[in-house]
Amino acid sequence: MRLQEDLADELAATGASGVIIDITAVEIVDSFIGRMLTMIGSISRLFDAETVIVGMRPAVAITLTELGLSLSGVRTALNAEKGLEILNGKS
Amino acid sequence: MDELPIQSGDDVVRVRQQVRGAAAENGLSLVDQTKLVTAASELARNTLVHGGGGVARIEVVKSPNGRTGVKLHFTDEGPGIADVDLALTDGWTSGTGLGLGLSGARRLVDEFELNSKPGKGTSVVVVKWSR
Repeated sequence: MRLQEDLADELAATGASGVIIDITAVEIVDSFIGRMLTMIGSISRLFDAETVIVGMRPAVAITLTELGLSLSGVRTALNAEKGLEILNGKS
Repeated sequence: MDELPIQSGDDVVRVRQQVRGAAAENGLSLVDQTKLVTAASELARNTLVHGGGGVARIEVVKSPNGRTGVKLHFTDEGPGIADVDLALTDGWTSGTGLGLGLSGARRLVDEFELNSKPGKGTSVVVVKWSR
């Protein structure tokens, strides 16, 4: 996947300690997209970076839960600001 | 009744868009639209990956008590499912996924019917009713 390659390249080049993925514009998360998000978390962890997914729509959150997806290994936050707080160690 | 081919990832996206349109036009709430589109995405991807491609049909249906529903048919002529009960078990996977596609899709809809014969293909029909 292009996104995963780009992410790994960026993490290696910059030494970033955190990754924020904003899914505000994402209308559904099925198990395919869920797996992709989990893999991004796993890749980031190999570079010692934490992943926070932000901006999940309420309907998506309800559907994800019923689908049975837990997005293990990634944190979630309400919005980018809250996500940054997590990465900066404020919460 | 619209019939849509499922032969590529782009076709899966088109099925999602058409299902969203039908769900929104027929009075499903935003949460129910999202559940139905997510189920459609899982089932369309199954048709593509496990069924070797197939077709989706979208139908608007009425219940005896006057509620409107969106009914989706996914049909393929792939290898079929040898053990349907096992395939519907949470966490059971044929290898590539998380094992939530079929069982998860069933939880997201109001009616779910799966027919499969090994060597003959698989058909899944689901309905989501407006509240």
